[in-house]
Amino acid sequence: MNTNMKIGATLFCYGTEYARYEYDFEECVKQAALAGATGYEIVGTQMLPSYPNVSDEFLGLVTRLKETYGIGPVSYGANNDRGMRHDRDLSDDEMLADTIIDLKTANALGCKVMRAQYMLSPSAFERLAPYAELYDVHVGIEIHNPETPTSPKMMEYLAVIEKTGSKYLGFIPDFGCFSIAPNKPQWMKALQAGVKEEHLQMAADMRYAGVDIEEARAKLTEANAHPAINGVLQGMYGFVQFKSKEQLPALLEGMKRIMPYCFEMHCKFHYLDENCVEASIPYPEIIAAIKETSFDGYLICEYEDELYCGGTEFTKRQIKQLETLLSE
Amino acid sequence: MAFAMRMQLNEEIIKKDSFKDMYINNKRNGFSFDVQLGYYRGHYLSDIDLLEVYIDGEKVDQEAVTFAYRNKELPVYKLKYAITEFWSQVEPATIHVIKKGGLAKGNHKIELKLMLRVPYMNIGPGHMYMPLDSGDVLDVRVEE
Repeated sequence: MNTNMKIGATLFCYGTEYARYEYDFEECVKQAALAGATGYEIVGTQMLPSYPNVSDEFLGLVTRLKETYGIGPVSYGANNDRGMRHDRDLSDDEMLADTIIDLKTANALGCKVMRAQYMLSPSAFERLAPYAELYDVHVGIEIHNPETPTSPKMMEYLAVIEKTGSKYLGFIPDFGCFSIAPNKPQWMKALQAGVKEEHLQMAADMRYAGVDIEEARAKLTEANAHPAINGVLQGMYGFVQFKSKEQLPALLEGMKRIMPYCFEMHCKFHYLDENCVEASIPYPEIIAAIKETSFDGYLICEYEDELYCGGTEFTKRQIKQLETLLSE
Repeated sequence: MAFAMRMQLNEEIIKKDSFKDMYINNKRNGFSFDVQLGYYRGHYLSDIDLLEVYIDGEKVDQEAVTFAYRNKELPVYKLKYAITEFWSQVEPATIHVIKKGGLAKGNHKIELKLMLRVPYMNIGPGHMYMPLDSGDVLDVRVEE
Protein backbone atom coordinates (compact mmCIF):
# COMPACT_ATOMS: atom_id res chain seq x y z
CA MET A 1 0.00 0.00 0.00
CA ASN A 2 1.30 3.45 -1.01
CA THR A 3 1.96 5.69 1.99
CA ASN A 4 4.44 8.13 0.46
CA MET A 5 2.00 10.94 -0.18
CA LYS A 6 2.46 14.26 1.57
CA ILE A 7 -0.23 16.62 2.81
CA GLY A 8 -0.11 20.33 2.03
CA ALA A 9 -2.51 23.24 1.76
CA THR A 10 -2.98 26.07 -0.65
CA LEU A 11 -2.98 29.45 1.06
CA PHE A 12 -6.07 30.10 -1.08
CA CYS A 13 -7.88 28.29 1.78
CA TYR A 14 -7.49 31.53 3.76
CA GLY A 15 -8.61 33.80 0.92
CA THR A 16 -11.51 35.28 2.87
CA GLU A 17 -9.42 36.06 5.94
CA TYR A 18 -6.77 37.54 3.64
CA ALA A 19 -9.25 39.74 1.73
CA ARG A 20 -10.60 41.01 5.05
CA TYR A 21 -7.11 41.86 6.30
CA GLU A 22 -7.61 39.46 9.20
CA TYR A 23 -4.60 37.45 7.98
CA ASP A 24 -1.53 38.75 6.22
CA PHE A 25 0.72 36.42 4.23
CA GLU A 26 2.62 35.36 7.35
CA GLU A 27 -0.57 34.47 9.21
CA CYS A 28 -1.74 32.34 6.25
CA VAL A 29 1.53 30.38 6.34
CA LYS A 30 1.31 30.05 10.12
CA GLN A 31 -2.28 28.78 9.98
CA ALA A 32 -1.40 26.23 7.27
CA ALA A 33 1.44 24.96 9.48
CA LEU A 34 -0.83 24.82 12.54
CA ALA A 35 -3.41 22.86 10.54
CA GLY A 36 -0.76 20.25 9.76
CA ALA A 37 0.35 21.12 6.22
CA THR A 38 3.94 20.17 5.41
CA GLY A 39 4.14 22.53 2.43
CA TYR A 40 1.95 25.10 0.73
CA GLU A 41 0.77 26.29 -2.65
CA ILE A 42 0.80 30.02 -3.34
CA VAL A 43 -1.52 31.46 -5.97
CA GLY A 44 0.51 34.21 -7.64
CA THR A 45 -2.39 36.49 -8.59
CA GLN A 46 -3.68 36.31 -5.03
CA MET A 47 -0.67 36.79 -2.78
CA LEU A 48 2.40 37.92 -4.72
CA PRO A 49 2.76 41.68 -4.14
CA SER A 50 4.80 42.13 -7.34
CA TYR A 51 2.91 39.64 -9.51
CA PRO A 52 3.77 38.25 -12.02
CA ASN A 53 7.32 38.60 -10.74
CA VAL A 54 8.61 37.82 -7.30
CA SER A 55 10.81 40.32 -5.45
CA ASP A 56 13.89 39.59 -3.36
CA GLU A 57 12.06 41.10 -0.43
CA PHE A 58 9.24 38.57 -0.75
CA LEU A 59 11.68 35.69 -1.19
CA GLY A 60 13.33 36.83 2.04
CA LEU A 61 9.96 36.72 3.78
CA VAL A 62 9.28 33.21 2.46
CA THR A 63 12.67 32.04 3.78
CA ARG A 64 12.12 33.62 7.18
CA LEU A 65 8.65 32.05 7.48
CA LYS A 66 10.06 28.65 6.59
CA GLU A 67 12.56 29.01 9.42
CA THR A 68 9.81 30.12 11.81
CA TYR A 69 6.96 27.76 10.91
CA GLY A 70 8.79 24.92 9.20
CA ILE A 71 6.94 25.02 5.89
CA GLY A 72 7.64 26.60 2.52
CA PRO A 73 6.11 26.79 -0.96
CA VAL A 74 5.98 23.49 -2.83
CA SER A 75 3.66 24.55 -5.62
CA TYR A 76 2.97 27.70 -7.60
CA GLY A 77 -0.60 28.36 -8.74
CA ALA A 78 -0.35 30.15 -12.06
CA ASN A 79 -3.28 31.76 -13.83
CA ASN A 80 -3.47 31.81 -17.59
CA ASP A 81 -5.30 35.05 -18.30
CA ARG A 82 -6.07 34.57 -21.97
CA GLY A 83 -8.74 37.29 -21.85
CA MET A 84 -6.58 40.03 -20.32
CA ARG A 85 -6.69 42.24 -23.43
CA HIS A 86 -9.88 44.21 -24.01
CA ASP A 87 -10.05 43.53 -27.73
CA ARG A 88 -9.00 39.94 -28.36
CA ASP A 89 -7.68 36.76 -26.79
CA LEU A 90 -3.95 36.41 -26.29
CA SER A 91 -2.29 34.33 -29.00
CA ASP A 92 -0.47 31.08 -28.27
CA ASP A 93 2.86 32.95 -28.61
CA GLU A 94 1.76 35.48 -25.99
CA MET A 95 0.32 32.83 -23.65
CA LEU A 96 3.56 30.86 -23.88
CA ALA A 97 5.65 33.97 -23.12
CA ASP A 98 3.54 34.78 -20.05
CA THR A 99 3.75 31.19 -18.81
CA ILE A 100 7.55 31.30 -19.04
CA ILE A 101 7.44 34.29 -16.67
CA ASP A 102 5.37 32.07 -14.34
CA LEU A 103 8.05 29.38 -14.57
CA LYS A 104 10.68 31.91 -13.51
CA THR A 105 8.60 32.92 -10.52
CA ALA A 106 7.89 29.29 -9.54
CA ASN A 107 11.59 28.49 -9.83
CA ALA A 108 12.62 31.51 -7.72
CA LEU A 109 10.16 30.42 -5.02
CA GLY A 110 11.70 26.94 -5.05
CA CYS A 111 8.54 25.24 -6.32
CA LYS A 112 8.99 22.05 -8.34
CA VAL A 113 5.33 21.98 -9.38
CA MET A 114 3.21 24.62 -11.09
CA ARG A 115 -0.53 24.58 -11.70
CA ALA A 116 -1.57 25.79 -15.16
CA GLN A 117 -5.08 26.24 -16.51
CA TYR A 118 -6.59 25.03 -19.75
CA MET A 119 -6.67 28.54 -21.18
CA LEU A 120 -3.11 27.57 -22.13
CA SER A 121 -3.80 25.62 -25.31
CA PRO A 122 -2.42 22.11 -25.85
CA SER A 123 -0.06 23.41 -28.56
CA ALA A 124 1.31 26.21 -26.33
CA PHE A 125 1.61 23.63 -23.53
CA GLU A 126 3.67 21.44 -25.84
CA ARG A 127 6.05 24.32 -26.60
CA LEU A 128 6.46 24.94 -22.87
CA ALA A 129 8.19 21.59 -22.27
CA PRO A 130 11.84 22.62 -22.95
CA TYR A 131 11.45 25.71 -20.75
CA ALA A 132 9.86 23.72 -17.93
CA GLU A 133 12.82 21.33 -18.09
CA LEU A 134 15.33 24.21 -17.91
CA TYR A 135 13.62 25.66 -14.85
CA ASP A 136 13.03 22.21 -13.33
CA VAL A 137 9.35 22.97 -12.76
CA HIS A 138 6.70 20.33 -13.49
CA VAL A 139 3.66 21.98 -15.05
CA GLY A 140 0.29 20.32 -14.50
CA ILE A 141 -2.93 21.30 -16.26
CA GLU A 142 -5.61 21.58 -13.61
CA ILE A 143 -8.52 19.20 -14.16
CA HIS A 144 -11.31 21.25 -12.64
CA ASN A 145 -15.00 20.40 -12.51
CA PRO A 146 -16.79 20.24 -15.01
CA GLU A 147 -13.74 18.67 -16.72
CA THR A 148 -12.83 15.12 -15.68
CA PRO A 149 -9.66 13.04 -16.20
CA THR A 150 -11.21 11.55 -19.32
CA SER A 151 -13.11 14.51 -20.78
CA PRO A 152 -12.23 15.34 -24.41
CA LYS A 153 -10.37 18.57 -23.56
CA MET A 154 -8.11 16.73 -21.11
CA MET A 155 -7.50 13.98 -23.65
CA GLU A 156 -5.98 16.63 -25.95
CA TYR A 157 -3.44 17.48 -23.25
CA LEU A 158 -2.79 13.79 -22.65
CA ALA A 159 -1.96 13.40 -26.34
CA VAL A 160 0.58 16.24 -26.07
CA ILE A 161 2.11 14.79 -22.90
CA GLU A 162 2.51 11.39 -24.51
CA LYS A 163 3.78 12.87 -27.78
CA THR A 164 6.52 14.97 -26.15
CA GLY A 165 7.45 12.28 -23.64
CA SER A 166 8.47 15.14 -21.36
CA LYS A 167 8.48 14.37 -17.64
CA TYR A 168 7.69 18.04 -17.06
CA LEU A 169 4.21 18.14 -18.59
CA GLY A 170 1.30 16.57 -16.76
CA PHE A 171 -1.89 17.09 -14.77
CA ILE A 172 -3.18 18.30 -11.44
CA PRO A 173 -6.62 16.77 -10.80
CA ASP A 174 -8.95 18.81 -8.60
CA PHE A 175 -11.18 16.41 -6.69
CA GLY A 176 -14.20 18.65 -7.17
CA CYS A 177 -14.54 16.76 -10.45
CA PHE A 178 -15.51 13.65 -8.45
CA SER A 179 -18.48 15.29 -6.70
CA ILE A 180 -21.41 12.93 -6.30
CA ALA A 181 -23.82 15.17 -4.39
CA PRO A 182 -25.03 18.78 -4.58
CA ASN A 183 -22.77 21.49 -3.20
CA LYS A 184 -23.81 21.89 0.44
CA PRO A 185 -22.99 25.61 0.96
CA GLN A 186 -25.02 26.56 -2.12
CA TRP A 187 -27.87 24.38 -0.83
CA MET A 188 -27.68 26.06 2.60
CA LYS A 189 -27.61 29.55 1.10
CA ALA A 190 -30.64 28.77 -1.07
CA LEU A 191 -32.61 27.58 1.98
CA GLN A 192 -31.68 30.80 3.76
CA ALA A 193 -32.85 32.80 0.75
CA GLY A 194 -36.27 31.14 1.02
CA VAL A 195 -36.02 28.24 -1.46
CA LYS A 196 -37.98 25.19 -0.25
CA GLU A 197 -36.01 22.00 0.35
CA GLU A 198 -38.43 20.01 -1.84
CA HIS A 199 -37.56 22.27 -4.79
CA LEU A 200 -33.82 21.86 -4.18
CA GLN A 201 -34.31 18.11 -4.08
CA MET A 202 -36.34 18.29 -7.27
CA ALA A 203 -33.48 20.21 -8.96
CA ALA A 204 -30.90 17.68 -7.74
CA ASP A 205 -33.02 14.75 -8.92
CA MET A 206 -33.37 16.29 -12.37
CA ARG A 207 -29.61 16.87 -12.52
CA TYR A 208 -28.92 13.24 -11.56
CA ALA A 209 -31.39 12.16 -14.25
CA GLY A 210 -29.57 14.23 -16.88
CA VAL A 211 -32.47 16.59 -17.56
CA ASP A 212 -31.46 19.60 -19.69
CA ILE A 213 -30.93 22.82 -17.65
CA GLU A 214 -33.59 24.80 -19.52
CA GLU A 215 -36.15 22.05 -19.01
CA ALA A 216 -35.21 21.83 -15.32
CA ARG A 217 -35.59 25.60 -14.97
CA ALA A 218 -39.02 25.49 -16.61
CA LYS A 219 -40.22 22.67 -14.35
CA LEU A 220 -39.03 24.49 -11.24
CA THR A 221 -40.81 27.67 -12.34
CA GLU A 222 -43.93 25.62 -12.96
CA ALA A 223 -43.63 24.23 -9.43
CA ASN A 224 -43.43 27.83 -8.10
CA ALA A 225 -39.89 27.51 -6.82
CA HIS A 226 -38.34 30.62 -5.29
CA PRO A 227 -36.26 32.52 -7.92
CA ALA A 228 -33.12 32.05 -5.78
CA ILE A 229 -33.08 28.47 -7.04
CA ASN A 230 -31.61 29.73 -10.31
CA GLY A 231 -28.15 30.37 -8.86
CA VAL A 232 -28.07 26.85 -7.38
CA LEU A 233 -29.23 25.36 -10.65
CA GLN A 234 -26.47 27.20 -12.51
CA GLY A 235 -23.92 25.67 -10.12
CA MET A 236 -25.41 22.18 -10.51
CA TYR A 237 -24.78 22.41 -14.26
CA GLY A 238 -21.54 24.41 -13.99
CA PHE A 239 -18.46 24.50 -11.79
CA VAL A 240 -19.96 22.51 -8.89
CA GLN A 241 -21.83 19.92 -10.93
CA PHE A 242 -22.09 16.34 -9.69
CA LYS A 243 -22.43 12.86 -11.04
CA SER A 244 -24.25 9.83 -9.69
CA LYS A 245 -22.43 7.48 -7.34
CA GLU A 246 -22.64 4.77 -9.99
CA GLN A 247 -20.38 6.86 -12.25
CA LEU A 248 -17.66 7.21 -9.62
CA PRO A 249 -15.72 3.97 -10.29
CA ALA A 250 -15.29 4.90 -13.97
CA LEU A 251 -14.13 8.42 -13.04
CA LEU A 252 -11.58 7.02 -10.60
CA GLU A 253 -10.36 4.57 -13.22
CA GLY A 254 -9.84 7.57 -15.51
CA MET A 255 -7.70 9.21 -12.85
CA LYS A 256 -5.62 6.06 -12.41
CA ARG A 257 -5.02 6.01 -16.16
CA ILE A 258 -3.38 9.46 -16.08
CA MET A 259 -1.72 8.93 -12.68
CA PRO A 260 1.79 8.52 -14.13
CA TYR A 261 1.48 12.14 -15.31
CA CYS A 262 -0.03 13.61 -12.13
CA PHE A 263 2.32 15.89 -10.20
CA GLU A 264 -0.04 16.92 -7.43
CA MET A 265 -3.64 16.57 -6.30
CA HIS A 266 -5.98 19.41 -5.34
CA CYS A 267 -8.12 18.15 -2.51
CA LYS A 268 -11.04 20.51 -2.99
CA PHE A 269 -13.52 20.88 -0.16
CA HIS A 270 -16.56 23.04 0.45
CA TYR A 271 -17.95 21.81 3.74
CA LEU A 272 -16.82 19.29 6.34
CA ASP A 273 -18.93 18.35 9.33
CA GLU A 274 -17.54 17.81 12.82
CA ASN A 275 -16.64 14.23 11.91
CA CYS A 276 -14.42 15.62 9.13
CA VAL A 277 -16.54 14.22 6.29
CA GLU A 278 -16.86 16.25 3.07
CA ALA A 279 -20.49 16.70 2.09
CA SER A 280 -20.32 16.09 -1.67
CA ILE A 281 -16.85 14.75 -2.56
CA PRO A 282 -16.28 11.05 -1.68
CA TYR A 283 -12.81 11.18 -0.10
CA PRO A 284 -12.67 7.59 1.23
CA GLU A 285 -13.13 6.21 -2.30
CA ILE A 286 -10.77 8.75 -3.91
CA ILE A 287 -7.92 8.22 -1.46
CA ALA A 288 -8.37 4.44 -1.61
CA ALA A 289 -7.98 4.63 -5.40
CA ILE A 290 -4.80 6.74 -5.15
CA LYS A 291 -3.31 4.38 -2.60
CA GLU A 292 -3.40 1.68 -5.25
CA THR A 293 -1.02 3.74 -7.39
CA SER A 294 2.57 4.87 -6.88
CA PHE A 295 1.66 8.57 -6.58
CA ASP A 296 4.04 10.14 -4.05
CA GLY A 297 3.39 13.86 -4.52
CA TYR A 298 1.46 16.39 -2.50
CA LEU A 299 -2.21 16.24 -1.63
CA ILE A 300 -2.91 19.97 -1.52
CA CYS A 301 -6.01 20.88 0.47
CA GLU A 302 -8.06 23.55 -1.27
CA TYR A 303 -11.03 25.19 0.40
CA GLU A 304 -13.47 27.12 -1.71
CA ASP A 305 -15.27 29.46 0.65
CA GLU A 306 -18.79 29.74 -0.69
CA LEU A 307 -20.08 30.53 2.79
CA TYR A 308 -17.65 33.46 3.23
CA CYS A 309 -16.90 32.14 6.70
CA GLY A 310 -13.15 31.74 6.28
CA GLY A 311 -11.17 28.54 5.85
CA THR A 312 -9.28 28.15 9.10
CA GLU A 313 -11.47 25.55 10.81
CA PHE A 314 -12.44 23.60 7.67
CA THR A 315 -8.78 23.31 6.58
CA LYS A 316 -7.92 21.71 9.91
CA ARG A 317 -10.76 19.24 9.42
CA GLN A 318 -9.73 18.46 5.84
CA ILE A 319 -6.13 17.72 6.82
CA LYS A 320 -7.39 15.55 9.67
CA GLN A 321 -9.62 13.65 7.26
CA LEU A 322 -6.72 13.03 4.85
CA GLU A 323 -4.37 11.96 7.65
CA THR A 324 -6.98 9.47 8.83
CA LEU A 325 -7.63 8.09 5.35
CA LEU A 326 -3.92 7.77 4.60
CA SER A 327 -3.27 5.92 7.84
CA GLU A 328 -6.07 3.38 7.35
CA MET B 1 -28.11 43.89 -16.48
CA ALA B 2 -27.14 40.39 -17.58
CA PHE B 3 -25.65 37.93 -15.10
CA ALA B 4 -22.40 38.99 -13.48
CA MET B 5 -20.39 37.26 -10.82
CA ARG B 6 -20.10 38.97 -7.49
CA MET B 7 -17.61 37.90 -4.86
CA GLN B 8 -17.61 40.37 -2.07
CA LEU B 9 -15.20 38.80 0.40
CA ASN B 10 -14.69 42.07 2.21
CA GLU B 11 -17.75 43.96 3.42
CA GLU B 12 -16.38 47.24 2.08
CA ILE B 13 -15.44 47.61 -1.58
CA ILE B 14 -15.44 51.41 -1.20
CA LYS B 15 -13.59 52.09 2.03
CA LYS B 16 -15.92 54.41 3.97
CA ASP B 17 -13.19 56.01 6.02
CA SER B 18 -11.17 56.90 2.93
CA PHE B 19 -13.74 59.34 1.53
CA LYS B 20 -12.36 62.86 1.52
CA ASP B 21 -12.61 66.19 -0.20
CA MET B 22 -10.25 67.00 -3.01
CA TYR B 23 -8.77 70.48 -3.11
CA ILE B 24 -7.66 72.36 -6.21
CA ASN B 25 -5.78 75.55 -5.47
CA ASN B 26 -6.92 75.37 -1.84
CA LYS B 27 -10.60 75.16 -2.75
CA ARG B 28 -12.89 72.17 -2.43
CA ASN B 29 -13.41 70.95 -5.98
CA GLY B 30 -14.10 67.24 -5.81
CA PHE B 31 -13.51 64.14 -3.72
CA SER B 32 -11.66 60.84 -3.62
CA PHE B 33 -12.19 57.40 -2.14
CA ASP B 34 -10.36 54.08 -1.96
CA VAL B 35 -11.60 50.91 -3.64
CA GLN B 36 -10.69 47.29 -2.94
CA LEU B 37 -11.18 44.81 -5.75
CA GLY B 38 -14.10 42.51 -4.91
CA TYR B 39 -12.57 39.17 -5.85
CA TYR B 40 -10.26 36.50 -4.45
CA ARG B 41 -7.31 37.51 -6.67
CA GLY B 42 -5.92 40.57 -8.39
CA HIS B 43 -6.46 41.67 -11.98
CA TYR B 44 -4.60 43.52 -14.68
CA LEU B 45 -6.15 46.96 -15.10
CA SER B 46 -6.86 45.97 -18.70
CA ASP B 47 -9.53 43.60 -17.32
CA ILE B 48 -11.63 46.63 -16.32
CA ASP B 49 -14.46 46.91 -18.83
CA LEU B 50 -16.34 49.73 -17.16
CA LEU B 51 -15.59 52.34 -14.53
CA GLU B 52 -18.09 55.12 -13.93
CA VAL B 53 -18.97 57.34 -11.00
CA TYR B 54 -22.48 58.62 -10.29
CA ILE B 55 -23.45 61.36 -7.86
CA ASP B 56 -27.08 61.07 -6.77
CA GLY B 57 -27.80 59.13 -9.94
CA GLU B 58 -26.06 61.54 -12.29
CA LYS B 59 -23.02 60.30 -14.19
CA VAL B 60 -19.81 62.24 -13.71
CA ASP B 61 -18.08 63.17 -16.98
CA GLN B 62 -15.57 60.43 -17.71
CA GLU B 63 -12.63 62.84 -18.10
CA ALA B 64 -13.17 64.10 -14.54
CA VAL B 65 -12.55 60.61 -13.08
CA THR B 66 -9.11 59.06 -12.57
CA PHE B 67 -7.81 55.79 -11.16
CA ALA B 68 -4.67 56.04 -9.01
CA TYR B 69 -2.59 53.03 -8.00
CA ARG B 70 1.02 52.67 -6.92
CA ASN B 71 2.01 56.24 -7.73
CA LYS B 72 0.33 56.32 -11.12
CA GLU B 73 -2.84 58.26 -11.85
CA LEU B 74 -4.59 57.13 -15.01
CA PRO B 75 -7.54 58.56 -16.89
CA VAL B 76 -10.22 55.90 -17.31
CA TYR B 77 -9.72 55.48 -21.08
CA LYS B 78 -6.16 54.24 -20.50
CA LEU B 79 -7.14 51.38 -18.19
CA LYS B 80 -7.96 49.03 -21.03
CA TYR B 81 -4.44 49.43 -22.41
CA ALA B 82 -2.77 48.77 -19.03
CA ILE B 83 -1.84 45.14 -19.63
CA THR B 84 1.24 45.37 -17.41
CA GLU B 85 -0.34 47.10 -14.41
CA PHE B 86 -1.53 44.46 -11.95
CA TRP B 87 -4.03 45.51 -9.26
CA SER B 88 -3.59 43.44 -6.11
CA GLN B 89 -6.83 42.59 -4.34
CA VAL B 90 -5.43 43.70 -0.98
CA GLU B 91 -4.09 47.07 -2.16
CA PRO B 92 -6.95 49.52 -2.67
CA ALA B 93 -6.81 51.97 -5.58
CA THR B 94 -7.94 55.56 -5.22
CA ILE B 95 -10.65 57.08 -7.40
CA HIS B 96 -10.34 60.85 -7.84
CA VAL B 97 -13.34 62.84 -9.00
CA ILE B 98 -13.19 66.48 -10.05
CA LYS B 99 -16.41 68.32 -9.15
CA LYS B 100 -16.40 72.06 -9.20
CA GLY B 101 -17.23 73.41 -5.74
CA GLY B 102 -17.37 69.90 -4.28
CA LEU B 103 -20.51 68.18 -3.03
CA ALA B 104 -23.27 70.46 -1.71
CA LYS B 105 -24.27 70.35 1.94
CA GLY B 106 -26.53 67.40 2.73
CA ASN B 107 -26.76 63.69 2.00
CA HIS B 108 -25.44 62.16 -1.20
CA LYS B 109 -25.28 58.79 -2.80
CA ILE B 110 -21.98 58.07 -4.56
CA GLU B 111 -22.12 55.06 -6.84
CA LEU B 112 -19.11 53.37 -8.40
CA LYS B 113 -19.91 51.15 -11.36
CA LEU B 114 -16.97 48.82 -11.80
CA MET B 115 -17.15 45.85 -14.16
CA LEU B 116 -14.29 43.51 -15.03
CA ARG B 117 -13.69 40.41 -17.09
CA VAL B 118 -12.54 37.29 -15.26
CA PRO B 119 -9.82 36.64 -17.87
CA TYR B 120 -9.44 32.89 -17.35
CA MET B 121 -13.15 32.09 -17.18
CA ASN B 122 -14.13 31.76 -20.82
CA ILE B 123 -17.93 31.50 -21.10
CA GLY B 124 -18.52 31.38 -24.82
CA PRO B 125 -16.97 31.35 -28.24
CA GLY B 126 -14.25 33.90 -28.87
CA HIS B 127 -13.51 36.72 -26.47
CA MET B 128 -16.32 36.09 -23.95
CA TYR B 129 -15.40 36.02 -20.28
CA MET B 130 -17.32 35.91 -17.02
CA PRO B 131 -18.32 39.46 -16.05
CA LEU B 132 -17.40 40.47 -12.50
CA ASP B 133 -19.31 43.19 -10.70
CA SER B 134 -17.04 44.99 -8.22
CA GLY B 135 -19.22 48.07 -7.88
CA ASP B 136 -20.40 49.67 -4.66
CA VAL B 137 -22.47 52.53 -3.30
CA LEU B 138 -21.49 54.94 -0.56
CA ASP B 139 -23.77 57.26 1.40
CA VAL B 140 -22.03 60.50 2.21
CA ARG B 141 -23.11 63.37 4.46
CA VAL B 142 -21.59 66.78 3.81
CA GLU B 143 -21.90 69.05 6.87
CA GLU B 144 -20.91 72.33 5.31
